[in-house]
Amino acid sequence: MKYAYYNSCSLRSTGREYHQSLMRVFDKLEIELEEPKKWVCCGSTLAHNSSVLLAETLPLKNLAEIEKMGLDEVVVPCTACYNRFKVAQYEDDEDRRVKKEIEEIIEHKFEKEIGVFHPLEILAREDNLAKLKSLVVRDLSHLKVVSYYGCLLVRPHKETGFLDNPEYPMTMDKILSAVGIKTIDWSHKVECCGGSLSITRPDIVLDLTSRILNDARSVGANAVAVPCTFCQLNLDVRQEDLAKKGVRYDLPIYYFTELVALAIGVPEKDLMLGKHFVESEQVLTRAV
Amino acid sequence: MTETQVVLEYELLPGHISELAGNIKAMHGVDANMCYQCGKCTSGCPLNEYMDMTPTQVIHAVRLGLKDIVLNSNTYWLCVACGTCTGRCPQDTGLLMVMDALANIAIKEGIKPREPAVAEFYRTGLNLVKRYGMMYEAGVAGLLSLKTGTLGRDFGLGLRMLKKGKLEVIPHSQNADEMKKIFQRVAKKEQELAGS
Ligand code: SF4
Ligand code: SF4
Repeated sequence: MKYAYYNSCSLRSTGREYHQSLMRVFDKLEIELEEPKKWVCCGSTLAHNSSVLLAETLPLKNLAEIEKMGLDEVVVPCTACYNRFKVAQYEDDEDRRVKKEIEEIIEHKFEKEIGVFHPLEILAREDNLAKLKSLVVRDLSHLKVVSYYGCLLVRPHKETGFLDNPEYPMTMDKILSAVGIKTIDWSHKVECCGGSLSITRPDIVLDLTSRILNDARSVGANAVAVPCTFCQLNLDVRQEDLAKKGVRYDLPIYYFTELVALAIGVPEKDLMLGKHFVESEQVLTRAV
Repeated sequence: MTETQVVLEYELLPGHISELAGNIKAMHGVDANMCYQCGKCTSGCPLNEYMDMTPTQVIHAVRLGLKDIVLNSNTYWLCVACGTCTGRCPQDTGLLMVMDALANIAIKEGIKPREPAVAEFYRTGLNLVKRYGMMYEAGVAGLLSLKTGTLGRDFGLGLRMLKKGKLEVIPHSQNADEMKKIFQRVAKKEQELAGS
């Protein structure tokens, strides 16, 4: 099995651990990933505010590169990119005129629609879930994890079409429990963490993140799993600021791929858990 | 600033569409007139308590054509595009796109942003993307802190990120020449579309 892989800006900087753990998991599943060489930034949160046309052109330029590789499905781990790709495809389908304009700009005529998938959607496929189950070697059943999906993946659902319920998704919970990790029911699964205001309005972001962390704590979680580089960074780095205000959480924020990787026997030293701000190795040690 | 034209609600005739709502519909394909003011968008909006006008008020004001009031609010700048409003709206108004449209219009018309740091963040970030073909986080953060005078506040965070190897000090280029070309072509196309 082979997919194109959109290894975008944040996976090369703030979210390097996500990329690293994802590669190891897909490797174990014997799924091949290939990066398009001539990719460009998809514009993520920046473009749509200033130009609709630009916001749609950039993702489609990347999809064109994937079609040129001869592949028809792409794995997009960054939820902001995933969201932009899906919205651009949706808008493009709705508005034939813009489609023509964009095809002119990027000098490519689409033959077919490229399937855009988040790694959660791929790992939750029955055959992959079964394979993951069979690969488990490490007992992590002492962890009590809340799955935090955030907003960009699930909304607007009409556009993203994420293969799950947008108000109460279960995909990540299913994947984690397939590898023997318990997930807990909670109410902030899809609440926004305010990631895009992170450096401009940290005051607001502290409020939003503390609401999410409070709920995680109140249901007794000892870890949070996320599928998004913005959520990971935001929930992770802000805990130090919240501690300064007198509220300590000490809740490690893992990429779901890190937890899966650990459970299926990827050695800790091959992951980059040390890059997390909140200590995230000790909580694992109870089960070696 | 042009004088605000107040349209009384009872004067709205079936089929009436304000100039602002009309522009937004033409440009972004969303119809503010569909809104029946149920308030569901506001009740789910994570930012509503920080906003000058609630999302429900914004869409109503758009419908009434109260352009100055809406464009001079902080609401569309604080909108984080989380999609809660749009996902839950029973009338499919596409409020998220209305927020986008307002930022588009405000930028084009040179409206002084009520959240200057947020507006500057988008501007600086997009310029760097245009230049390097990919995002350059340290660059945006640095430039932004300089421009908005928050260097002191942001310095600690930057340092923490650097220590963890989370920030690239030097920007990478990714297909930058082609990216510049795309930006130019999009700008040209937009002019053509605006003229047609
Ligand atoms: S949820 Fe939709 S219909 Fe209800 S007030 Fe908001 S925009 Fe209007
Ligand atoms: S998309 Fe914007 S307006 Fe809508 S709920 Fe989210 S923050 Fe509020």
